[in-house]
Amino acid sequence: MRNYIVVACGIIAACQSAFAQKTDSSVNYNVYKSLLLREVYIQPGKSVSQSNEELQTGGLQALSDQILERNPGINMIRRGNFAMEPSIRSLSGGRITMTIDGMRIFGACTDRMDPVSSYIEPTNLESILVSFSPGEDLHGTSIGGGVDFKLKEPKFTEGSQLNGMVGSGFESNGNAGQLLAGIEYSSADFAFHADGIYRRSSNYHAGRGTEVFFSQYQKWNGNISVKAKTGLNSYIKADYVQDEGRDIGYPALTMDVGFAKAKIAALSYMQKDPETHTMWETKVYYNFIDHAMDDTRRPVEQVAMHMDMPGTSRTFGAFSSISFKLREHHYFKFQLDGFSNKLSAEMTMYPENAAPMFMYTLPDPARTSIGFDFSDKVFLNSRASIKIGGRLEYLHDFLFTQAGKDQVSGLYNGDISRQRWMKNLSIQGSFHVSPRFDLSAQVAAGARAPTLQEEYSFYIYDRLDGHDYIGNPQLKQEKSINLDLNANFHTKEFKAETNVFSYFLRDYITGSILPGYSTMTIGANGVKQFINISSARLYGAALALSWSPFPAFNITSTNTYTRGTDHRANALLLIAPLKSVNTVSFQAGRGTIFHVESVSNARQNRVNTELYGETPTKGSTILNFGASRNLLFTPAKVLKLSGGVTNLMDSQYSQHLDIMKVLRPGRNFFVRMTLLF
Amino acid sequence: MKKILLLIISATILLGSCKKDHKAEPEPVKIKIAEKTTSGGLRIALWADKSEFTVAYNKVYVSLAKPDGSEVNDASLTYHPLMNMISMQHSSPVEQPVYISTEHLYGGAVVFSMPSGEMGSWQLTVNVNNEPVVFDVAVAPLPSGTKYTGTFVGTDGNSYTVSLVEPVLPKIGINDIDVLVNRRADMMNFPADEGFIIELNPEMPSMGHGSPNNVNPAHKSNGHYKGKVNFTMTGDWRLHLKLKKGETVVVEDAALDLFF
Repeated sequence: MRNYIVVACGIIAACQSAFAQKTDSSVNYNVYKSLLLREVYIQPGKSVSQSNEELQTGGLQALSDQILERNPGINMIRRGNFAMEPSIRSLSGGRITMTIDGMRIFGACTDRMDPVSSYIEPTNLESILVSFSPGEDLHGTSIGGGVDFKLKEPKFTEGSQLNGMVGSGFESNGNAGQLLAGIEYSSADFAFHADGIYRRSSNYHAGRGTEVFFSQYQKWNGNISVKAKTGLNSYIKADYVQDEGRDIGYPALTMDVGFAKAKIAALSYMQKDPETHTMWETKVYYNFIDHAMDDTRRPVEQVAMHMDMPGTSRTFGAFSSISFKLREHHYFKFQLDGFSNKLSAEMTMYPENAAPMFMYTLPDPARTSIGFDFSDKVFLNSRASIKIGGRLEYLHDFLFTQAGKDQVSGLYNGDISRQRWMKNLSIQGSFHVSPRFDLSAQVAAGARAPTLQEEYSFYIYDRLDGHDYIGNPQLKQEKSINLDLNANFHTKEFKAETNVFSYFLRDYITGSILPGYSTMTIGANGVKQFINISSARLYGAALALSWSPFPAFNITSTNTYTRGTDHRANALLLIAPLKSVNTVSFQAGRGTIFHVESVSNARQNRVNTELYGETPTKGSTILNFGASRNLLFTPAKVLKLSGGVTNLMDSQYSQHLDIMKVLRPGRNFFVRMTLLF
Repeated sequence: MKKILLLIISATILLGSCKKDHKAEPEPVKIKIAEKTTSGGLRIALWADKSEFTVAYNKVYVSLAKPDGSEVNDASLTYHPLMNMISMQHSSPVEQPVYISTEHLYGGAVVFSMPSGEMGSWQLTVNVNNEPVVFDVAVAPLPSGTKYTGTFVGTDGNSYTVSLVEPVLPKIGINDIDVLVNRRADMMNFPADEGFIIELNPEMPSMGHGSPNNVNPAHKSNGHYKGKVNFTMTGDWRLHLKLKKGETVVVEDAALDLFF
């Protein structure tokens, strides 16, 4: 664990921060925070030192996507101005897991319009935990790690306390606005938290004044969390998040979204023993996503045929995880989990002068899973530690209705349900060469099951390569061997962190042209089916530098690069080019912080248009500027003000992971204020 | 540990909870179309699968009972459909009835090639032990946009009637398809033609796409060609049937339409 040098490991870190029962969990974060971030704390802090961070992430007013995008290892796949899809080291979709507080949740849209990150708001969150490796504190098998959104956790306090916040923000580009509020009550044995946010945006303008049509959105999100002590060291917690988006435009796609609704509920029981460093969490959860695409707002000449495309996703699950100190310098954690996910997506087309046409685009596929997860960390001496993590998971995929089975009878023969065992394993060694220099290396064996979409899609259109995709129940699981090397050098003024990684993938899942099949989508180029190709490789590096010659001044540079090739040395799809983010920040006087930032993406020429439909993307650089100030009325009452401009030069640009190269926003002035009380 | 056990149990239940529910197909109910009495006093009733005959391949059933109600199962029966038009008369393809002991009915089929109406009217003559019993039958047109039977002139100069026997109730996915081909020998005789090779190509006319994994209908018996058709969605479907004798294309596109 390269980022928390002192803190033992992620799990223990979580325990300890929980044990400490701090009212402000940002305390340990300033000291050990790494540049190549793993965990981003979201909750607004009252301290000035945190302001720069909040200014950069956009505070609570930014979308979860935008906060994720700040992580050097993450790029976002953009289909519009909303619901961007995270790509960790250019791995996305089924290759990474996305969970909310350990809960499995799956988007309902067949066109990947609703990644999990779109149903969660910064106001709901304590932190975002990013993992780059399988078999490590994850809640599912994966190739490339994943993202866990940690929900708000109200704290128990000695006396009773009532805290709150209200905030708002405005952005000139798209007339976007946010309104948010939160309240937290805490006492010795009861704690309550509630928050809500409303946000809306009209069409934004790309650089040089080009309006990007169908880039509007509006949504609200609410979250309630209740905690009650059941004993000296135990409590129960109930969480409920509801998120409803409406009238969301997707300029990169042929349809928009009428509504996207999520209801997420969880009940947890937590037992802790500070003596033995034991923490035992058991959670039962259910989530339901209801999603409907909409083409009625598009101009008639753009809509070849009106259609309705609703989809739902239901997940019920539970897990129980226990972590404890086995003996001195030896920490152990294991988890047993299970879930059942049911997807359904359909399409009804309305031709003129003919009968409506109905079919399932996802013919009621379901997945049930039982998983066992462990991690074991031993400190060999004061300098070296070893961590071993693993996961074993059993999966059963099937179609849960006869109608679904009937429909795919035209594509597949025989039993198309699948059962499989999945394995993830990772071993990591860390060594502190000197107080300033540490090294770590990790080898991991990853595996992931094909997604239900990859197994059972029924003519799902992909705008990127213009093909209808058919699933393949015969897909083998995708496997990988990952290597990861880190070297970090830290002094008081200077930090340098390097990270080199490679993924050797086998049975890589991708689309392959299915000859002789006629397309279903009007204007599609052909039909593809998901297949396994023998192998693929992904490798890359990250370099982060930070220099603080005096406390009020800081220069940071993070640079990331990935490159992917398939078994025939063709460039893989959706691989981000070299990206460099350079920031200068300084603190003027008491509590006013300025930062200037450049975000550059190199040109991406390594594409394979013939196989994957991608075209090269031009390089781009934008400049951002921001300032923030905390006004302290009383120690308990803080008004946080920030403002700035993104894309100062009004550049017209898009990045390689932007589907259909839809232009990103041009110059945007923003102001934000949050009152904490 | 109790909680872990509980979790295992609940997870097991979770896994086992994927029960399949099968709905029984409703029993086919026959509908009585008409009833007459022969000179010998036998009660003869005409039955169909639907409340009316349509321009399509129709199953036609007959029940035969003595005056005391007891069933007659050894009669010799033949069907003779006849269209009476102002200037002419013609018959249509027919499958002569045989006794079906499980149903206590004689079952055959008639392809009504046009609706009854101003153009003319249909009579179905049932010969019971050589005694003709004439029924006037109404043949309803099919809903517009559907075509279950058609007559196509082949390159060999013959007229062929191509009729869809199956699927009766099309569904999304793979369906059994059964096509009946009859050659017009003269206006009164339409023998089944067993010598074709048929290529099947389904299409959705409103979208222009087809579907994969169809199985060309191959001859089974008495002019019935059986294969598989894949309907990927509901809506309008056109079945393009190419009729070949050896390598010679006799009918390029015998197209039948249906929707569901």
